[in-house]
Formats: sequence, C-alpha cells, structure tokens
Amino acid sequence: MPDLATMPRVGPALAIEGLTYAYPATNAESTTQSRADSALALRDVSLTLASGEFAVLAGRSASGKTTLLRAACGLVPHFHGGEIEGSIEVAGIDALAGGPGELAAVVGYVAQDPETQIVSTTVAAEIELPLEMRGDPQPSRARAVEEVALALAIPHLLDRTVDTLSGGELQRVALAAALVTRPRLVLLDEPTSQLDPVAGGELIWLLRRLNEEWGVSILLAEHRLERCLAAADRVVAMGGGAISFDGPPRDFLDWAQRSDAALETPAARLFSLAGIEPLPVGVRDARRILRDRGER
Amino acid sequence: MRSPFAYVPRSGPLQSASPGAAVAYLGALVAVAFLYSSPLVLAAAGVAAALAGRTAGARRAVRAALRMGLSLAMLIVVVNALVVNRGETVLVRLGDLPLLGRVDITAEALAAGAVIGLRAAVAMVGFAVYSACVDPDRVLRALRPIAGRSALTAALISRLVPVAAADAARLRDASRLRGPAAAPLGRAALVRRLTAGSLDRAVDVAATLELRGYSIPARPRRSLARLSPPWGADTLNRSRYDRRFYATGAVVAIAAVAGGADTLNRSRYDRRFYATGAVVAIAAVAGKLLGADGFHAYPTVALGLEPATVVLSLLLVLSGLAPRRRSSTRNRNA
Repeated sequence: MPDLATMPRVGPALAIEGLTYAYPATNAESTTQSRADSALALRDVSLTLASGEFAVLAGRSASGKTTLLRAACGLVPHFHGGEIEGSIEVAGIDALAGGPGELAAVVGYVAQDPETQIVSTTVAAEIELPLEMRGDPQPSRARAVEEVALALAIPHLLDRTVDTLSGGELQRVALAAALVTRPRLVLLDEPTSQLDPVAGGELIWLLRRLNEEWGVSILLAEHRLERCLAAADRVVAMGGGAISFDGPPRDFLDWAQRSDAALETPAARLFSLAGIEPLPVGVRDARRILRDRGER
Repeated sequence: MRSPFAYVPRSGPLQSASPGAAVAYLGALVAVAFLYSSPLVLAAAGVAAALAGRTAGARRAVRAALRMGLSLAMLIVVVNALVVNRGETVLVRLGDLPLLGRVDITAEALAAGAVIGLRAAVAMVGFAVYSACVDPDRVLRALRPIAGRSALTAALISRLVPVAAADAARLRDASRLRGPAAAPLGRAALVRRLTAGSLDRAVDVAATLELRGYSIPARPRRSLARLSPPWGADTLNRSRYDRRFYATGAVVAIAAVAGGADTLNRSRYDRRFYATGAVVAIAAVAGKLLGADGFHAYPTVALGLEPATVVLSLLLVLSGLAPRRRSSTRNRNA
C-alpha cells in the first residue's frame, strides 16, 4: 500500500499518456474476427489533471467516458481485463503496475447507480469501511467519518440503515465513502443521473465546495452539462474513445456549437439562436450577460 | 419493499449486545431444539425464541418465520405420514399408491413428523430473530480477524437479498404497466431477469469493494501466524488422548474468539446473554442426563412429563425474556 505521508502532493493528480484500450473480446468476436480498430474503447488518450483541478468529462453515450474513469482508478484493465497500451499515473502511482486496491489510498470513485456502491447495512458502517479495510484505529475512523459526514451535510443519516435512504441520500453516502480516505482525486461517473434537478445541482456545488476546501481534484463525467459547467475549471470532451476538446467551459460551448451540437447546453443553444454573445456557462452567467446587454 | 428478516437498528438489549453474545443466546435455544425430541421442550424453545423476538421488537420477523415454519412443519408431517409406515396405531389405510407403495397413515408417523416440523420451525424463528436483531456490520467486524473474506461474503449476501427483492418488485410493477394486452411476466422469466440483474450488480459491488481497498492486506493485529499448528509438528509422539484435548481446546478457543473478537464493540448487555445462553445450555445437558427428553414416537407414542422436563421447559420460556429492557429507577418511582 502506498505510504500517504511520503507521497508527492505537488505533482499532477492524474497523468495519462497515449492510452489505448480495448475490452476483452467475446468468444464470438475472438473466433470470427481479429481485434478491429472499431473495438477500441480508448484511442491514444493523453490527459493531465493538475492537483486541485475540477474537470468535467463530456461526450455522447459510448464515447469512452466511463472507460477513461475506470482506467484512472485501476478497474481497467485490472478488474475488467482487455488489452491496454500507454501509461497512467495517479498521484505518482503507476496505475497499470498496481491495481485498484493500491490506488484506493489516492482515488475515490462514485459510479452512476448508488445501489451497487453500498455494501454495508448502516450509513456509518458504509463510510467507515474503507478506513477499516486500511486498518486505521477506531478513534481515527470515528473522527474521519464524522468529518466527512459534516462536510456532506449527512450527520443525521449516520445511524440510518441504507435501505431507508432516497437515491440522493444514497449518492451522498457513496460520495462520503469515496472521500473518507481523503483521496487526491475523485472520479464521478454521472452521479446526478438518478437525482432530481435540485438534488443534482446541490451535489455539483457540494463537489465544488469540497474541491475548494479540501483541494481534491475532481473528474466528473456528465451528460447534463448545464448543471456543472459553471462549477468546472475545464471541460474535456470525448468522441469515439478519443479526446476531441480540452479547454475552459466557455471555449467548450463555442466548440460544441461548431462541432457537436448534441453537447450544447439548452441555455447556450437559446443564446446562439438569439444571436447573443458570449454563450453562458450557467444560469448565473446567463443572467449577468443579459443584465449587461440591458444596461448597454 | 423491506424484507421482514432485514436488520432494523433499535436500542434494545439484544440489538446492543455484541454478535457473540447474541449468537450464544439464540444459538443455545436452537441447539436445544436439535438436542431434544420432547414436544413440550421443543414448544418451550419455540415460545422462548418467539418471545425473545417480540421482546426485542422483531415482531414482523417472528410472524413471518412462524408462518413459514408452521407451513414447513405441516409439509413435513404430511410427507412423513406418507413415507413412513412404522407405528402401531393405523388411522387410515390408503392402499397401494404409485411410487410410495403401501401407505398406512399412523398416529406415530404423524407425531414423529410433527416433532421434526416443530424442530425446523424453532430453528427458523431463532434464525429470523438473529437476522432481524443482529447487526450484520458488527458480525462482519467481529469475524474479520478470523475469516475476513467469508464474513464479507456473508455480509454482501445479506445486503444483496433486499436489493434483489426491491428489483423483483420493480420488475413486477414494470410488467403490470405494460398494459392488459401484454403477456403477464411469469415466475421463470422474473427469476431469469432477476438472476442476470443480480449477477451484474454483484460485479459492480465487487468493483466497488476493490476501490474501497478490499484487496489491501489488513494490518496484522496479533502474531497468531507465528504459532506452529498443533498437528504435524509432533507426529511421532501422538497419543490417543490428543484428539480429546485438541477438541476441548478448540471448543474453548471458539468460545474465547466469540467472546473476545469483538472486544471494541462489547456491550453492557453481553453478560446477560452469555449467562442466559450458558444456563440454557447447561440445563439442556443436565436435563438430558436426568431423562427430561422422555419422548418416543415408535412403536407407540410415549410422552414423558417428568419434573425435569417441566422444569426445563419453564426455564426455556423464561429465557425468552432475556432481551427485555429493565425499567429504569425513574420509571419505577413514577
């Protein structure tokens, strides 16, 4: 297990270089055809995420977002198998040499379906599990659980059983379990897909607050970009397993308008139809732009 | 949808006790059911288990277990009556039946079946109370130093069963919403989809566990690994008495582990449940030696109601009150 005390804190949280990956072929595929180029889930992906950066991973379905997140936490290829080329370093740890267990100390992962991320009966036990696995003593575990519960505004849930929680509460518990070890990088795969718009928005701004207060780097894969562009420092767009755009949110909106209209946010589409510039990254930004135009 | 057997956190003594103490107490009641054939003792053990569950607030679990246990008991009675021709009191002669041959329903076979069924029902109630009152997370924590992977597997199953039940309810709802013209979702189709879904979920849960550090070797807590095993090292000097002492040592070690593994999670109620479990176990063994198990089904039903049987039964029923919360001084004075 990596020693957190001696680990470098200043290097990039995530450094991916020339990553190409294909999931294992099914029997039918392997007997009828060799691995075609179309079977690649990731193609020559290079991405660096600085310490404390909040990046949104955009892209259509099957564009490679989930696979990239799985690779960043070691599930690909260690858990899912397949063929991989390139290099991945997470907080200075070689993800291809180690595995998800080794990376657990530096990476937290929150998947789309909260039901499959909960393994304990009560909320407190669920949040405590990663620390218990690590062998932390009881007093420090209790302190860490309380701290993360306070940060995520869920101390009132600690004694509840997980089967009495709503989807939004479950997602917060899953996030707490991912954050309790104070990882340097948190990967989130469409965490708002099962939440209502209000709960989804709250979760995104909660992530932004943790990103600012704890200095944790965040890579968030999302379809509903209107919720999260305003909170992000940077947007990485994927298409066909490769990175098609990497830059600030406002530049992303201009790029989406030109190159992939499906990734445009509703507000940006409305502004572009009305011929208003610049395109807004969020509701507050839209209000500001409209106010400025009115004043002029 | 919540399973009646799912654990519900409460502040009662049985829920607060460490898993070792709860297992010692409920295990003693179930052990009595397997040691004895006397219907009176079995019924007393059943009443004790049900009383323990009700006192601990697990009424739904007890009700569901009784319903299932008594249905199973009825089935056992019927099957035993059909397949066993022993006994002198023939009630009905059914003649020759296909597969079964000559079938005579005897009062003795019915009584023997009822005893086996009652035993199964007591065991089911005991396990239902355990499932509803003992926190699986604490069991996981207590067993991790001894058998971490097995404990985690058991805890995962206890987590995935209610999730599968919720999935089944969702699939049924989805099927109903397809409209009256759609073919109804049969049980086989439901089970097939549920199995496929559960396997997918299991893979996702396994991935989550990997990410939570499940594959990290836990820091060693004790230097047990340094001890050489008692077998193998001294092969030439083995004695015929070795097995006896190893067995005694193993029983003591298991008891010590059950009591000591969960040191950090000990409760003030532990002593009560360990003591009740020990009293029940000792009384059961003493009762056996004193002939309290006076029941024979064949050749004719003979039910002995010796004083020892009655005393043991009363003691068992009383033991069912162990999870009762003592009323506080303030309440008594009020």
